[in-house]
Amino acid sequence: MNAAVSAVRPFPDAEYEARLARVRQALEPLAIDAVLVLGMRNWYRDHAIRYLCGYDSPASPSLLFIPLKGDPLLIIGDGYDLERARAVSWVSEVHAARDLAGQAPALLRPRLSSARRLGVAGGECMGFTAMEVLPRDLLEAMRQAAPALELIDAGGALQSVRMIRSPAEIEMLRQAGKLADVGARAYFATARAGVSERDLWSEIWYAMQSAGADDLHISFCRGPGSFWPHPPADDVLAGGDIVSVELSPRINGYFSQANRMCFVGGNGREWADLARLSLGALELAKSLLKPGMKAKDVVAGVSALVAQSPLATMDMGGVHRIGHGCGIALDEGPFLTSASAAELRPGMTMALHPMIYLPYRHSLVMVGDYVRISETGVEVLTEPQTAVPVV
Amino acid sequence: MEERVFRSRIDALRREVLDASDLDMLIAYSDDILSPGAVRYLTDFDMYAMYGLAIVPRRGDVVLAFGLHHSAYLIRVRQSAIADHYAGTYHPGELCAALLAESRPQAAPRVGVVGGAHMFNSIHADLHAKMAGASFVAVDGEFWNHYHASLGAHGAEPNLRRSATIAVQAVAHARSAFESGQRPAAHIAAGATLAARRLGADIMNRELVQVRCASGRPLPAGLSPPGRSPFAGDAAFAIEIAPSYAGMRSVCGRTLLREGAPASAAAELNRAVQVHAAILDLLRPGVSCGQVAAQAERLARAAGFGLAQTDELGNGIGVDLRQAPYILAGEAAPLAAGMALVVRTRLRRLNGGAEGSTDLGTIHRADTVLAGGSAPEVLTVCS
Repeated sequence: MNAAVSAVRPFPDAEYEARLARVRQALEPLAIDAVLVLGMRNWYRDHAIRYLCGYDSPASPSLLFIPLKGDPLLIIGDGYDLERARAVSWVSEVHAARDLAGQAPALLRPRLSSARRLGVAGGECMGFTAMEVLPRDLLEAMRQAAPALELIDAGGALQSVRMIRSPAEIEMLRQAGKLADVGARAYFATARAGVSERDLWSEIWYAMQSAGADDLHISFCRGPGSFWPHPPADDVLAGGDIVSVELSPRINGYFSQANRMCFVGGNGREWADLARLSLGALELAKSLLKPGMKAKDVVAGVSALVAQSPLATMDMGGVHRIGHGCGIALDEGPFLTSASAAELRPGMTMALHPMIYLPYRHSLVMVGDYVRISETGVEVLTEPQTAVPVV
Repeated sequence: MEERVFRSRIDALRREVLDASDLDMLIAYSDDILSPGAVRYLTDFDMYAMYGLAIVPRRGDVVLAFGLHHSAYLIRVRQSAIADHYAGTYHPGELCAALLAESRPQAAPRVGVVGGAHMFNSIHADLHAKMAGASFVAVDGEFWNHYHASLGAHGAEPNLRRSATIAVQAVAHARSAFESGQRPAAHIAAGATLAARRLGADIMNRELVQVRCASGRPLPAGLSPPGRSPFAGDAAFAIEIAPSYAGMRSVCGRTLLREGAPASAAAELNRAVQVHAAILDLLRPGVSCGQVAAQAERLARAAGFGLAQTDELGNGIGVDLRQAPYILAGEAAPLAAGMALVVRTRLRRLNGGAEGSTDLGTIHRADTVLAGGSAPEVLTVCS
């Protein structure tokens, strides 16, 4: 690798080689010959391919073929991006295929001649598995090219490897955490009655982008009737609003997340109660997160605290939520819900934000930080919010 | 989208696509936030995540189906989209079957599908299982022909024009930043996208203004997401900005020279701009996309350039950043009056030029154009 190329790669090749080795080990129980990883240009769905080879699929879908033994092959959909793909990815063989379903099987056929089982991963989104989201035309083309090939969903195995961050990833996530702090400062500087969600969003976005974020996700819970984060609207902030913002900057493919909250206009004792509740729930969650704990047990502890308040409940559709894994994907496992038996392990990084529902307002209070599970507890990677200001 | 626009689009679709193609139902699919396609056109749904399915039976309710991971998402979909009914489901087949049955279909029902090629295979399998008696027909061509012909009739064209105006202003912002010495590309892009949003560009919970750049001497053929590396003081800069306004996308791309660049570089850029303008002038009704591509190649060569195109020279634009027709060699699809197109010209001087002269590399220029009868109309007019 020459110096010019190394400048655009976020990690050294050794990092990717180590990831690949871990993934191959995790795939062994599936008894597959290779795994085909789908990367979609929608960054909700590009994480698996980016984790494995560094390519971000900015304009078209892409495919990464990884045999359990031998060299990988990257196929991208955008011919204009070939030069950059070869620079950002450590994979030595990179092809462009304008018609992915039409051209990829021919490129893969020689490598699949003796394969019996092919894993499928990547592209998953919110309840749809990798196997389910494989585009219909690509699936049919693969079946035509290799009729005897059995396709196996390997998305879960790959996700289990990704959950534990390497030291290099943790360093990247620290940077992402600092970017979330930049966004938080812009939020508190801008939020006030009369400002639209759109303008607030734009100012926060500009601050984080100027500070180094490659991409971002920002959503709001604001005002009565708003109990779930939504994209910004043209509505303006008004007195009596509770404004909770979710800030998720991304740098070199890695997300952090912080949730910040303010009250618009004075509302005396109610605001004080809600501030104490939201900040207290977050602090309790941090104190409960430890390696070996089950996610649902942490959630139960936080729910018990919230249950003491006559104003609030954690029950939203039968599920209590206090956070989720966050890093290479915005929302990824383990999910910190009342239904999750996932065990917390050192090296996991999480967006921790107890979602506290206020039925009397049909609204939400939510403050959150980005944390790493350490050997003994948590390390907080964002600057904690210590009070809920009235703006 | 206003109710009357929604109704007029659905009525026109039923008349000009369903009736004309003898379909009992049309299903439009997308799972791409940047390419919501027919789903956006019909229901204004901006495809926040997962998938969207606009279900239009020949008679009866128009239904928008989408993945629903939490009931609160339904609030968001109702705010952003319009339909007679909204259905959050991971398995839309049964719903489609019920709607088809209610629409009093013919004995052997025909279901037209737009965007079906890339459909989640699980949804494809579910639709086919639950509507086992129906025959499925891909009607992408019919739909997009109808869309292009309707662009001026159902409220989309004004939004496209506004989108193009925003693109021009954003490029002007980038030009000012570049000429005043601002670096790197990511900073220039941050200012340009902020300017676009202040002018009303669509926003969501993620960036919808697409920016791609190139810098260096010579300029590379490919445009990339804006980088943070500083580039040389004498480097040229290419930027392409694609905002969305009320769901309509446009593109404006320019190659910029620093102040005091050699006269030979400015002259080369001017020649390239003239070639690009001549290529835009080819966009006339009845001309095939392949003819445009071939003639563009000839125009470039006559001016001493080669076209550094690896994919198509251009494509249709509007609800998607990249949609049919595709301007590339051998493509027989004809252009029609009113079609919205983007042409991305990438010109590279042949044979390296005279010894000692400045080599800019690949000169990028992109414009959004309406193919017209007497002359094409460029919507992104700027220097």
